[in-house]
Amino acid sequence: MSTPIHVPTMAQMIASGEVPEVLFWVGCSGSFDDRAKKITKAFANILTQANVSFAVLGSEEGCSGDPAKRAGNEFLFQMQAAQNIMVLNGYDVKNIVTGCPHCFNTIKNEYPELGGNYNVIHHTQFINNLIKDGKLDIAKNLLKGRK
Amino acid sequence: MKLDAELVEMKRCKAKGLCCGAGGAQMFKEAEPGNKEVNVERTEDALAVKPNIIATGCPFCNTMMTDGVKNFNKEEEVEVKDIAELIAEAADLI
Repeated sequence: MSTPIHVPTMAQMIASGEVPEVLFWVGCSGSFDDRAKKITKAFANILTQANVSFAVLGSEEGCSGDPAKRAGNEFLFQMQAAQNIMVLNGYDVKNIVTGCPHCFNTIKNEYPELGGNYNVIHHTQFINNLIKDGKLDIAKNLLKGRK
Repeated sequence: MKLDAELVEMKRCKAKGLCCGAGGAQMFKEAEPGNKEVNVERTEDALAVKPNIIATGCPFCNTMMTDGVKNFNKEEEVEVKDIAELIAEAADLI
């Protein structure tokens, strides 16, 4: 490891005429929480290792609106969702993998009625698919006998 | 899964699973009335199956379980890790 990995933003990808397979929606925790940043890096390493063409939104990613909606502030949720949907639709995003189940639920189940329709998948499902498709080899270092 | 780890569910799981507490905003606000923090209650469930690692799929659960483990002074024995980290380790990426 410790070879630097390149994580492009959607803006950089589109500017260079590429369309990533999947958008990695990092979420607030994965962006700002020091512990969760390590998880984000681990997942970005996995994506790179598996040769997945991916991008992040970077500073264009806003809060999914989940905390506002759960707290009953539907108005704020709709403002945040509308902003994100505008960005996502602007980049014509089709597939999203999230690093957090809260973003996952909101984008998958609550964005469609506001005009945001995407294939959304949680990072654990995405990793499972990578392993099933043989794109990720984890046989090297088994967690033998631990649980 | 090729990870050769023994996966143990907590006694309360699936439809009977208990929230770590962050879903009820207990990560951000003062505790609701009661005699125990939700994350402490849930960490008791996790520690009852005597794990080496508590695996999470959510950064908020990760925080709550980490705090819970610290509450029982078990941070030397029990690690809280995301599934992405376990896989990245298994693939020699970390």
